[in-house]
Amino acid sequence: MSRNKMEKGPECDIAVSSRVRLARNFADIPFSIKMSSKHHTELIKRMQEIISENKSQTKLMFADISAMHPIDRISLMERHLISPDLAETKVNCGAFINEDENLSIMVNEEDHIRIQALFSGIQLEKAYSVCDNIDSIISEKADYAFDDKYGYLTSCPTNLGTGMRASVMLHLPALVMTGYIQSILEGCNKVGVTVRGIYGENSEAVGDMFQVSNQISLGRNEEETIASIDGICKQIIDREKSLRLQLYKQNIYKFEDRIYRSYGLLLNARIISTQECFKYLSDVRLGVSMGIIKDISINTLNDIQVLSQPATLQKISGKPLSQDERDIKRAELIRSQLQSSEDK
Amino acid sequence: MLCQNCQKRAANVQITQINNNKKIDLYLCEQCAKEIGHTEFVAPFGFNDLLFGLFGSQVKQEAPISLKCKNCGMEYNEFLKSSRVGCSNCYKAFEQKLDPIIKRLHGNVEHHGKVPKRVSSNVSVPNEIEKLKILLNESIQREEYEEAAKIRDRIRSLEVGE
Ligand SMILES: [Zn+2]
Ligand SMILES: [Zn+2]
Repeated sequence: MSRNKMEKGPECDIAVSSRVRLARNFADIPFSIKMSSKHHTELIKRMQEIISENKSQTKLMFADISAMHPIDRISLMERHLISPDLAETKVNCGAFINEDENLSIMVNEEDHIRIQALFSGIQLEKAYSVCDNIDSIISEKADYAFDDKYGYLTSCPTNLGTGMRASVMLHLPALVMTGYIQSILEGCNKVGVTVRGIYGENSEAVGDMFQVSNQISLGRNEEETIASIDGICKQIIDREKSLRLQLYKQNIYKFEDRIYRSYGLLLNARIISTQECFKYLSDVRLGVSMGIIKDISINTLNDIQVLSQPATLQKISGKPLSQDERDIKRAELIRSQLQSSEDK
Repeated sequence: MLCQNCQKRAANVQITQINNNKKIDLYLCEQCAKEIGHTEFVAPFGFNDLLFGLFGSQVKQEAPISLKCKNCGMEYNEFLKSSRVGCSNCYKAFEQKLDPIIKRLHGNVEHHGKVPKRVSSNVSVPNEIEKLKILLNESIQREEYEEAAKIRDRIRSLEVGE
């Protein structure tokens, strides 16, 4: 669990993470929906050969997802190293993951391979260059399914063209509080950008987190797509910042009260659900970002967000836990993370 | 957000409906979205990019088509159910049906961007020209006119299709 290695990126208090993924398929193997188990095994073998032949690159370790316990699979998903689809699939699959846990290549996902890179803050260009680099290496060793007109051929037509999805996770509590988030959602849709809340069981966006990503991948090149997502995110961040300040000035006591109450709850709760945890984390993140709470770092909050999720929590405990046990364990974990952060 | 139809389950599908040239956004749960089959899906969202029925809707009125991909054996109607093609050849086999759908999805049907190394492609030519034009401007700004002339010649030869 090397989340602490994740370096702080620019604007990382509001832009939690930037991710780029490339969908790729090989020309000589049918796509996922028509693949046999023989194909699945063959594809994993092919990728293992390609990756092992390449000595110059950052070390990529192969994770045999199929052989893993479901808790370990979901934990990889909670740490954003594999997709929910790959965590659940019944076919033979795996993922190559680097030591820093910011680059992974999923094998036998919806496409033959999905290369993805994840960085803290707003760093789409960096995430793309990491993906681009490993993609070029693979394309020297094998023939991708590619068409002059449609670009990289993908299992679903929505990914044609560059096969790229660039996304940034934004923390937008002030836009949510004021209701302005709705107009942002609508505005983005008009320019081919999708903004979606990270939804939980209770249908509202969890912890005021939103994912901004490109809707279109055909007809626009990688750089243009990244520049447009980047620009839109920066605009949203600016608006979020000025709204925060406005809300704060309007009623300093009310604002600080909300933040300190949530902080107090996280510090003192003995039983806490994921949903509740994310809600209070959102307030505390806002407080840290605005310099109201000074003794915790954004990294500590990111760690809590990842580690307190159900499967990862069970992995840390080394045994399966019931829901009640998880809620108790989660409260313990939050307290110890916050206290060790204060000590520093 | 609750589903706007049943008001019970969480909305995780967004449907954009066009009625008399008016655009209406609906936020529905998975079940309700499946039931409302006659709508045009434009922007799905949710954890796994829920895409069921993305292409099925507009075909219901049409007579069944018997397009089939010779390479992987997939039939066009099979594609409509899953929204996934069976192999790279499917795009050729279903081109006549798929092309307008792809155009609607992306607003464009011409790839701009990276080209894999082992593919000799026409796409790489415009890409190459674009890159050279940037280099040309840079060398002019640096007042390296000899270099600029070389780059200009290279662009010309690419443009006439050498
Ligand atoms: Zn419903
Ligand atoms: Zn096919």
